[in-house]
Amino acid sequence: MIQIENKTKDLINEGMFSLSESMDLLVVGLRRDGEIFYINPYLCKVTGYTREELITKNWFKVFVPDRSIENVQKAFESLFVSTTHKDYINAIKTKTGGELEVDWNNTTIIEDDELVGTISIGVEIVPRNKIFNRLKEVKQEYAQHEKELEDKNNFLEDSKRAMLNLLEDSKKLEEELLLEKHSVEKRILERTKELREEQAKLLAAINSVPLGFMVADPKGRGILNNNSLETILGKTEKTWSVEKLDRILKESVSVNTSFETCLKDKKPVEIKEFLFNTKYLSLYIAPIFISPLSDEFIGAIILISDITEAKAVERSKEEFITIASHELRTPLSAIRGNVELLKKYPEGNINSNDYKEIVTDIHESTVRLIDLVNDFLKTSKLEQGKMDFTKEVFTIDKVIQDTCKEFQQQINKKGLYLNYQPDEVVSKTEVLADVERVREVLINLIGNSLKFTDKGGINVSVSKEQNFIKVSVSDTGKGIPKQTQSLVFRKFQQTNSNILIRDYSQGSGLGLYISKLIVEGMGGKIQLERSKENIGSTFSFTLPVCTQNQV
Amino acid sequence: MNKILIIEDDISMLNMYEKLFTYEGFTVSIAEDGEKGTQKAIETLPDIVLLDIMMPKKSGFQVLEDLKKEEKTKNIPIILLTNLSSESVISEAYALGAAGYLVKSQTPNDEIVAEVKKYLKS
Repeated sequence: MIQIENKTKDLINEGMFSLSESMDLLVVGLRRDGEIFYINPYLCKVTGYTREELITKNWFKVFVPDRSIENVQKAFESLFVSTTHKDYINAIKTKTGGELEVDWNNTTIIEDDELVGTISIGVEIVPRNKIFNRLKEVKQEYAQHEKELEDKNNFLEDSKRAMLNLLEDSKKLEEELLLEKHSVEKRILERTKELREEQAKLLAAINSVPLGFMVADPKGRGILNNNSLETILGKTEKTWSVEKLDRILKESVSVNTSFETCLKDKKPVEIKEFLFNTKYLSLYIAPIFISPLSDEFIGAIILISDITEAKAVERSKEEFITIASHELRTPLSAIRGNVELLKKYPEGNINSNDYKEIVTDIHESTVRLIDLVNDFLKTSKLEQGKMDFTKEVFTIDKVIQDTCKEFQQQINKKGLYLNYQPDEVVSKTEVLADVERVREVLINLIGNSLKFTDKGGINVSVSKEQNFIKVSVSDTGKGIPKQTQSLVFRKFQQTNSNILIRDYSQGSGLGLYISKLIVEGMGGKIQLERSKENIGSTFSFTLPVCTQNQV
Repeated sequence: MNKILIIEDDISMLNMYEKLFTYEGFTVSIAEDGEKGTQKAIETLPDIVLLDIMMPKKSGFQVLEDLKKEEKTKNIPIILLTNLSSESVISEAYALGAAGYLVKSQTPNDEIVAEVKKYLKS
């Protein structure tokens, strides 16, 4: 043992005591028999007793659980055997029946060299464990929180990443869109150019066809039209419309009605043939649908074709055989019938008037038949280019005057006039042609006028037009209906459009056709200048002027 | 006496038919175009009509149609006498109500008279 002065010992004892009273450690003083002579407030507090309840009480009885009394007493006894203090751990009971595990630090008290008791200082183990457990719990909770935080953080991280990705993507998308936009714009430009070219080609194509072509929107406003439309209708307009077409053609067809029918029925409307001035036209209106499967239409195509030529060709083909055979059979039948009359009813039965008439009719029919056959032969010769034209130099005056003289008797008989107005320049101008053929044409034209004129008369006039002499024959006759004006130079064409209705003229229907072939064969032109029903007609033909080197 | 109306524009033919049927004992009336022919048929109500097809002003077909429509003349037999001989023309003639169809150049006078008399008997 360390030798310490008594005075110092007293100081320590006093300090220790004060310390023991205030500190949060368990302090107990026991006599050798286990009687409690000191107990500090903290021990009272944790065990639930008052100090008064415990002083002089036996420690072991009050505090040590029965199961460990023996061991604890042995450990306590051993403190007195060895002088060194010893530590041990044992449980103590609380007033309420609980237990506390306490780690005891014991020291013996020596009084007058005798071991009289112990002072023990204990530390609760249980609370420490509790703290430890609590710490563990807190640690776990913390870990839990930490994990949650981490999760949240991770989630936030993920979200952030997702957002970033999204941003990145949208940026990329924007770039792609920009690229796409440029490419689309480029394509649109290219396509527009292509379309313009296509349109130009289409327009060129549309303009080159001889059909009148117009595209109208559903309200009838013209979107597109070609030049042929204006040529056929003989009218120029800045813009075309169904309305305008209707006005121009209103005396022939109702374009409005056809257009409306087309839109209503969603089917093409066709008017195969109608007369417009001197032309035969056909009208075709077809709806334009957005697609072949849709019946939503965006307008209509209007086609107007000039079928005059086609009609003439068709008619002349169709009618050639019919008319040729009819024309030949008629005089033959007259000859045959009249001869049969003479055979069956002998002279005695027929009075002299009848007899004269029969013979005259046979003669006339024979002459007509000869003329007809001659015309046929002439036509076929001219058509095959086998007609020989002599080239003579002459002035037209004499030929006209001679021809007029030939007609004078017939003119007088019908009470008409036939005038020729010579022209000074023409009278001095020589032409190069076949005189006999020129006479033939003159006879044909004047003869036609005579045939179709019942009052008034015929004027023949001449004029010089550049390198041609023009001869015109005008009459005050019945005129030519509009619908046949364009057909008069056709084979077998008479002035009525119905083949079954014919003239009294008994003509072959070849006169003007032959005249045309003759005039053209001599390098000139023949035409119908003008004609109006019941007012009269003017025909003209030209002959080439003779130039020096031709002589 | 039987009344016959001859509608024919060719004057030589008309003259000939007029004489033929006069000699055969008919009362003959004539017309030289379709319009006059229709008018005369309605006015004189003949027993039979000989009708040409190709004529001025009004074709024989139109005359035939008009006379078949007209109450007074619809039962009068009408024989077409023409130089047209195509099948289509002939069938149209019958469709319009013609009693007979004769082609001039193929029919001698005797046959024409016989044909006319045939329709008068029935």
